Amino acid sequence: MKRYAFSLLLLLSLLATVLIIYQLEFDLNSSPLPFILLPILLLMTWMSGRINFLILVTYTLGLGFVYLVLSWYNAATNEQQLFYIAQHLLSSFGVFLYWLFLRQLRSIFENNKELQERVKLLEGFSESPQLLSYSEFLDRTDFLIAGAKRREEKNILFHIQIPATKFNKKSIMQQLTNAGLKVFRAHFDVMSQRNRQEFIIFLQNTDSTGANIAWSRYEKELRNRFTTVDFPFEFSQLHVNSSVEETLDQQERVHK
Amino acid sequence: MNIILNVIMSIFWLLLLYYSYLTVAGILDRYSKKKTVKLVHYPTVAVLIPAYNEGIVIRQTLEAMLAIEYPGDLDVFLLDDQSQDDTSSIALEFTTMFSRMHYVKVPKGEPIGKSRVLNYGLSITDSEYFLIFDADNQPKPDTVTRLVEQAHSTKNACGAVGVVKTINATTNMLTRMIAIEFQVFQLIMQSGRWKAFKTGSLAGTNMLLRRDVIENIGGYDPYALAEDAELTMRITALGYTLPVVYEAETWEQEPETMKVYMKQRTRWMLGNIYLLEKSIRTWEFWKGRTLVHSLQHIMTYLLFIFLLLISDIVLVLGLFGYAFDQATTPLILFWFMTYLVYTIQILAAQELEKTATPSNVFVGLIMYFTYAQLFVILLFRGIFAYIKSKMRKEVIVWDKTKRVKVET
Repeated sequence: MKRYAFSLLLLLSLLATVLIIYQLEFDLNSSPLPFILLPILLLMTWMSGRINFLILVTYTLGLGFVYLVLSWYNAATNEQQLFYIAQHLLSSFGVFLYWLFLRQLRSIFENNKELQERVKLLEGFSESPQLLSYSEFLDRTDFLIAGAKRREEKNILFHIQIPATKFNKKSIMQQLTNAGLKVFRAHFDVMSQRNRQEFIIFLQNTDSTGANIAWSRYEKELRNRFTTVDFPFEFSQLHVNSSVEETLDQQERVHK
Repeated sequence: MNIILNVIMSIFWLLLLYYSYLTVAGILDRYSKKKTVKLVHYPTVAVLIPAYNEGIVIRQTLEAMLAIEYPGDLDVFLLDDQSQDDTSSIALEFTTMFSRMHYVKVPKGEPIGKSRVLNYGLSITDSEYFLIFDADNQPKPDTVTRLVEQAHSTKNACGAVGVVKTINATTNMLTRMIAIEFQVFQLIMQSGRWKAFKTGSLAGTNMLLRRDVIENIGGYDPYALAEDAELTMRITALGYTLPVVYEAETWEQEPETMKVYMKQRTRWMLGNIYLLEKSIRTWEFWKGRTLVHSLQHIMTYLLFIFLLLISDIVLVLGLFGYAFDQATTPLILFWFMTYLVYTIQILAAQELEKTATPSNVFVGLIMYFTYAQLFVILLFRGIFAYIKSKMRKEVIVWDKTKRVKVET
């Protein structure tokens, strides 16, 4: 909120400066300001923060030299020189405020973009907040696989793939997720969406018999949700030895 | 009268254009992407720390030296120039425990000062490179690595120069202004000159040098009080370059009282007057890249202060009603441009260093009227002391800056 107020204050100061300069310009037709200031402001709107700072410094120094040459050439009186200085200060201050405003605006945009990316990363592409994001799923399963290896236990991965041709992929995925959350122990078995077409469930410390029991419970729940005789997805049960990614890659190679 | 004024104003033009050019070049250099080159073999480095009565700061300095991380062989030599306080006992605590640390008692000799101590340090070490840190310095752990990498990857480099930051910048107005002055020197002047002329200058501390080059030119000039500036001229005259490395940082303390400051800066001024005199006698100092240093020297220590004095006189006369209406040069605008260039340099340095807080910006805006004016006094003090020493045929001796305890 503070940053918002500061940006607003900057914008108001900028407008006030522009108005004062405009007022001054009416009295002095020979001033080169309008021809220099406008292109500078336009240029700054499109440039990066670093280039803008360079423009600000070059403009402030350059304009000073322009006035110096002008007053030397015109043999300016003390009053005229003071007027040039006032003009220089005002216009430089205006460019400075615009630079500050753009910097403030850019930092808010960048911050916003960064936050959006973080939220996206945290949520993954999952629309169900109880589900793990895929990166979290991989981290968690790596840890579980390492533990299972030490204890010489087995792990099973349920891989469910919705064919690309299905129109209602989003709704199918929603039903798979909700059914999974209902049937499996969320703190013990982990689930995730690999992408918009693949749903995966990792069952730790279980063999094929245990996995079949789990699948029949899941299937029963799915039967309640789907009316079709054939499910609108393909199901495979995979043994996980080293990592989930490797297991899925192997599966893909077999299918090809 | 107008002819004299026009001549003075031409010099003004030259200075204003030169410093404006350096400001823009400095910003460009700071914004340009620097390549970091990892070396296969890291050369041997000897860190030389000249010390005299440093008991108040030496423990923190040696702790920082131990924290330095360098992939090659690195040894730290504390060169004790006959300290009367507990410098040696603190140093021995470190040398008896850590293999990297070495304590060396420098024999008595003339003329006293940093240059002679460093020459002695060079004579007892044999590393490929040596690096100077003042006895109050606390470098960042990667400083040596950054300097060595840059020195190795820059064409014709005989070393590299790091950045010096002020550890007690917030203590009072004086230390704050000194910190700002250092920022301007390093971020605008140094980097601007590197961008524009591919030449850098040594800063007295946090500087890496190739031993063979320095030994070939006969080491340090023991009579030079501004030994860094003097050495810069000689190595630049041989065609070597000194790249500036912004990532290689060290922290040091600056004078906290006006008395200590004036003493330190008068010594610097004397050193620079000595160098100006030496420059007049040495033709090599006016060729190639060395010309940039010689002109910079004249501009900073002579013309700038001289013009500052003129500007003050014009201002005072103006206040008493002498408006210079008949002058054919726009005096007021010249004065304004001087203030503008000086202040823009400060604000640019603050923006580059991300230290542009409201209080720092305010200090930057008033520095022309306060801190810069001290240089007029310093020039007079320096000239007076120099002439006095010449008339009495005395050798101006090194005068150590008094340290203070700074908690970090």
